[in-house]
Amino acid sequence: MSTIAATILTIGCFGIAGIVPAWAMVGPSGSTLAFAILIGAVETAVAGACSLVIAWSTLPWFFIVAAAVTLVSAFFLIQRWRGRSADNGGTSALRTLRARLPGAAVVATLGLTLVWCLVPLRVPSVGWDARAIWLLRATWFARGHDFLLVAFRSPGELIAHASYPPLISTAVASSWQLTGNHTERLGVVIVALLNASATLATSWVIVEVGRHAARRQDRDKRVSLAEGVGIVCAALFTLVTFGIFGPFATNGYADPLWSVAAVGAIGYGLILPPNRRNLAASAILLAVSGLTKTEGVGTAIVLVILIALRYSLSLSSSPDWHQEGSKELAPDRRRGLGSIARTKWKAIVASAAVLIGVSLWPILARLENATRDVNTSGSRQGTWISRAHLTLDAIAPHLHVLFIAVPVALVGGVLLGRHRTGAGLGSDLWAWLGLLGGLSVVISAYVTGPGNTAFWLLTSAHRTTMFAATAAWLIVAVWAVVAAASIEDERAPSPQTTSAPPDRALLTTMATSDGEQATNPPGKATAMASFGEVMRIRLTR
Amino acid sequence: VILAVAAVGALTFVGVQSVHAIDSRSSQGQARQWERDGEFWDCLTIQAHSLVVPGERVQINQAGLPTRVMLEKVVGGWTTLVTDSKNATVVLLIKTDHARKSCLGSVVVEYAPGSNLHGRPEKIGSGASDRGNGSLPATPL
Repeated sequence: MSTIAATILTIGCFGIAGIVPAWAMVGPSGSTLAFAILIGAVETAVAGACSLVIAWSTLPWFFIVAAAVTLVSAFFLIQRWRGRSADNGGTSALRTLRARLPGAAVVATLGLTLVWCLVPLRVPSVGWDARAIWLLRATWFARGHDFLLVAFRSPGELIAHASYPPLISTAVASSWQLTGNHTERLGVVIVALLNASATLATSWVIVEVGRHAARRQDRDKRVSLAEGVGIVCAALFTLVTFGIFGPFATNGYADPLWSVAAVGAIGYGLILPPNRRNLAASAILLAVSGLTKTEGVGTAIVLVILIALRYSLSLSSSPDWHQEGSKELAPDRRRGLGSIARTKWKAIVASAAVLIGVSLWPILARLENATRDVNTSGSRQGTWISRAHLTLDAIAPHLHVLFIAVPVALVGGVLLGRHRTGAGLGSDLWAWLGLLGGLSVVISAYVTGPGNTAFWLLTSAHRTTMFAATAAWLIVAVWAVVAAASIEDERAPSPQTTSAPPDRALLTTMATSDGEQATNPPGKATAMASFGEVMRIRLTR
Repeated sequence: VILAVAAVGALTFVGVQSVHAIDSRSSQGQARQWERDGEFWDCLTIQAHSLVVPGERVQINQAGLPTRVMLEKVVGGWTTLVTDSKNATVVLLIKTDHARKSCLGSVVVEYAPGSNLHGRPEKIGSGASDRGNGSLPATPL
């Protein structure tokens, strides 16, 4: 089978395997297909883990895992549709679908940008790490349990990093087994398309920011401006992201995937309103990040904690929440507060599940006696201070974007903070905490890790900083959209947009977790009677 | 207004730079160079396949990190790499030899386990050769 046919077959299979869970988790939108492909890739990683622990090769497990996940997702999807149909005769679902589906202009803009970014695939480059680690391990996964186990434990495998997370290798192994085209070329193309999917999912955050900013506007012209700037900034962000990735975007390396997936998790989990859909989107991207590379595991753990914290605080910060003990609460309000408590517990359980999910592979690798990774074992050369100096010197040239992002964020925070929270978006501080958390993971690995850090930095600092650089550009892009959407507000503030207190706007957006707000006329949300009413609407959905 | 212009301007500036960078990575010259790189690794793999069968226990010569890494890339996915010569059925080595039918000057050779790896090898890899001019693209790490 030719590389093009094999690529279409593989990505098609990933998409089919992931479309029902993607629909159930993030609903219909321009990024649903990207999420479906990423879920398919995550399923191959789960299949790889089953292959390592139980039997067989990756592909049979992929079919089993995909079928099981699809069935469970379909069950929840049908339950939800039935609930909605009973509430409103099914018309709302259609309205939501129409509101969510992207316009031709959005699809064309982002699609063409991504196609342009993938043009270097014409060059059949296979990167050093791709050949030595990711594609080599893909062969192990394709050969099945017995070979995989022996290779995992072989001290002779010096450079293969057996304990590294499996997603890239299992996705490639599945493509080889599916198509019979066992070439490094196909492997590299599949990895590049996973990078593109994760980048599209992340860019979509900026499109969504434009939509949220537009919802605060009451004139068509201003709505178009906010949404238009969102689309343009999403396309520019895609270009900038592939610029940061450089040749590694299309030569089979794992760094672009974990980095952009983690940045996407910041976008959905720490920037966009904390509703069910956005939390699900961030969970998918965290799973991708954590199952792709060791740095991604650490970063994903930090981000899970931050997202859970933000979600809990956003529930607790409601004025009604603090009055929970009041005996004068109306019955419906009391019911609403009870639901918040349940939601909080659900959030804690979901966070714990994601934490366990991303931590499982390192534990599994240890239990299966995988060869110790040379990057995380052995003796350390130099003191922590000397290594910290070397690390900061090495990563600084790759983070020049901070000279733009920090002033933009400071000015934006001071002048437009209210506009931002008024649009239902999270405080910029959350995004910065996510960026710094991920960067701290990388820096601490260099400082406290083993071996000669100078050599280590020389060969990796440009790749391990991809996450921080991309996250900083996401922050800039979000401020660009918020600022563009606020231009008219600054000149002539309308009572409708300024009267909504930030908390109420945030909670209202939380309440409309499935995008129904997009179909409401502007300002209608602010007329909602009480917090209890808002929460009741949300929780009966 | 200033913030919006500054942020969109910065994104546009770096976006345009990225377009140029992406464009420069997809030239015909680059494509030819990387095709040569692929041919080089295919050549070594075919030579290795002429010496060992999949699943065989192979020891890679420990001396010389670059050749060891090269060999691990070539055979690590389909043989079992061992560190102890007692467990190995063959020992593989890459030798530099422009005179033979080499892969850009490199030849995969086989020695018996426990031998001192000097002198004439037991077998020499065959089935592919690429005399070329030895120029491969600089592989970014």
